[in-house]
Amino acid sequence: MNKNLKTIYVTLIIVLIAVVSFIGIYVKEDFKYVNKIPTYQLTKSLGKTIISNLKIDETVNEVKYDENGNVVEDDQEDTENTNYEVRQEAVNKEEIRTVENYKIAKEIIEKRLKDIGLPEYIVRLDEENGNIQIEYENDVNVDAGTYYAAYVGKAEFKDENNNIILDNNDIKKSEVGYNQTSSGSYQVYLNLTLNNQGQAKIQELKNNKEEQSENTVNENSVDTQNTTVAEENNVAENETSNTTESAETTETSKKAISFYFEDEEIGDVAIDDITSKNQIRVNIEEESSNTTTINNNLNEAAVMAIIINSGKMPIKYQIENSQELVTKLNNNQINIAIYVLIGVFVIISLYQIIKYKKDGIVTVLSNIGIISIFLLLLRYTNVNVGYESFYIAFILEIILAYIDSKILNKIKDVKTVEEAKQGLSKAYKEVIDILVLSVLIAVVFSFVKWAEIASMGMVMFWGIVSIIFGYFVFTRTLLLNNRK
Amino acid sequence: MKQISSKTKISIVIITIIIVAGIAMMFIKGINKSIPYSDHTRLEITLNNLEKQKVEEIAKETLGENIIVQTFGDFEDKIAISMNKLEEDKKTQFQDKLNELNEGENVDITETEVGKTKLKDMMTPYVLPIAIITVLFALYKGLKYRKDGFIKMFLTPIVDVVVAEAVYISLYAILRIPVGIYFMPLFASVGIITLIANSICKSNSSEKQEKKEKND
Repeated sequence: MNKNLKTIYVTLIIVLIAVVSFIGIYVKEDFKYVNKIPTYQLTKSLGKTIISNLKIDETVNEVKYDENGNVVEDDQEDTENTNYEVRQEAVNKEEIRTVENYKIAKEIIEKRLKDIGLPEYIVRLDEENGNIQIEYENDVNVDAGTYYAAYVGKAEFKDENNNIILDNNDIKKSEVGYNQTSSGSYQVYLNLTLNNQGQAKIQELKNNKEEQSENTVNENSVDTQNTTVAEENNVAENETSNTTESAETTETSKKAISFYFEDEEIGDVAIDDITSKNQIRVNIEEESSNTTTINNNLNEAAVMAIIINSGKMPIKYQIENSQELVTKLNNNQINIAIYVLIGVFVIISLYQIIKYKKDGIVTVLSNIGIISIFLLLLRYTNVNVGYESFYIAFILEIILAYIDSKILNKIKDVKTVEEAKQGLSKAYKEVIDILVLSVLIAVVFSFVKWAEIASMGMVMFWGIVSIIFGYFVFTRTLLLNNRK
Repeated sequence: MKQISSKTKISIVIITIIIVAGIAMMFIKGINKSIPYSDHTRLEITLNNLEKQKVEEIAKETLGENIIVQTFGDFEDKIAISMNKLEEDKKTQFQDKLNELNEGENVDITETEVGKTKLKDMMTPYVLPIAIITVLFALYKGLKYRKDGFIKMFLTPIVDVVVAEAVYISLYAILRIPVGIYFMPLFASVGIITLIANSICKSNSSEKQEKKEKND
């Protein structure tokens, strides 16, 4: 193809891409023109943030004690008994309101926010009064982070007499699972792995239960023998007696402990069903074949697992308020950043045109094509863009300017295409280090969960892709076409 | 032993002074944090019929210029005003002027004390990725230019980044620049630009070396 024609085609393509990227494609829809090019996805620095304020729960409860100093629950209260002592007890006593406990609470909240996968968050603690403020990107359900933060995380197993058998200190880890039952439904469960202390307690519980079962069986055996000796011909009666006693034996062995989360009973676990040495499985809700119900049960179990794994809060907090804040940066600040980038690009371009003349002009044209492709890629790949992206954009400009200078210097006084190709090969070798560094930055940053950093990584990645693509399609073609 | 040029000596001295001064300032006065990152008070107001601009003007008049005003709420009908220290008389003044603006009716203001964000919490997400990139790039350079000495090639980028970041933080401490939302992304950028500069310098010196060898 004629070199001039090639140059014209490439130039037209660059102009077309630039128009689409900077202006857009407008199509008439419902009596108005709509831009078909997607808009930029914004990170919290340019979008919305949730700010939630947590305060120490100041609730004071009335607690009744009987003559023996035991707490009387509402359902156990004897209305005729007026000898109960009523005490005013704060949910959070003075002695637990220490800076150390505030810091522990803050760490637990941070762990929960990390475990639920919030892309970015800040937790602030006022050490004077224990107030905590959480700030996170509004990319999730409005109160998701706050919701998890306000739980105390109390997990307990109690027996039928309301005695605490196991608590948070005995649980090492909590996981969610589900299995398909014989009826085809799904049962969601919480799998609690116990630490050594918890395992010892379960073993003791099982041993106690076995001892009790043995005692009960022995008593029943004696009764049965007595019945047989006393009434030899009364077989039906013996059978009835034996059946009743068998039933009693079975009932005794079906002892269970109940799992409580945040003082709410979740489910029972039969002691006999605890077959593993260190794991207890608690069923969450009833089994179901309805997808929505199963998902709800899974969410419920997941919340419990995350909260239990993060630890029990030493202090109970309550959500004071939760608001959605609009952008940290105003339009002025965003515009300044854009003007700075444009200004740097213009200065570099002018320098290239003045120093390298025709080669400089084609390089600037190629760079416009590269920037246009870059901006389109950011939009079409839904990269989250924030103020931090401007820093990476500035760094990409430096990289582009450096690569251009290497290329242009190598082919500055070169007249033929062959010599130009050799010059370009030398230039590639010299810029390989910077390209390796850029790829490293893009890859490492992109895999970080922190939204700002991941955004920087993705912007860098698409920037390098645009530079490499643009170089081979535009820059190289136009520079070689300038030669004989 | 290779002679250090006078320019390099001067640079080393200046950098050392900046870093030492920065460390001293951090011990004496600590880092200056912008309002959202320091202990501050937050006032929340539901605008109702009040104009946001007028409320902002009253806030600047009574509470001072050093405040941050942000909008929130589903209909962006509420504003939050953050400031470092709220004196009681200023708050009363602000309340009175707001009530006046609201035609004598009391404007409900919610006051919240917000704790500071620790520098450690701000830096933690950034330090590890930058450290990983620096070490990997240093390893790459060490292996690629092992002829010039692996240890030297490996350590140079690491030392460069550490010194650059130390100078960056020291300048913030010395010049009392408020640490805010730009601090950490700039911190990351300083590290990246240092590595780029390191790469460019090495590339240029290799080019000079090649030219010298050619001429010889």
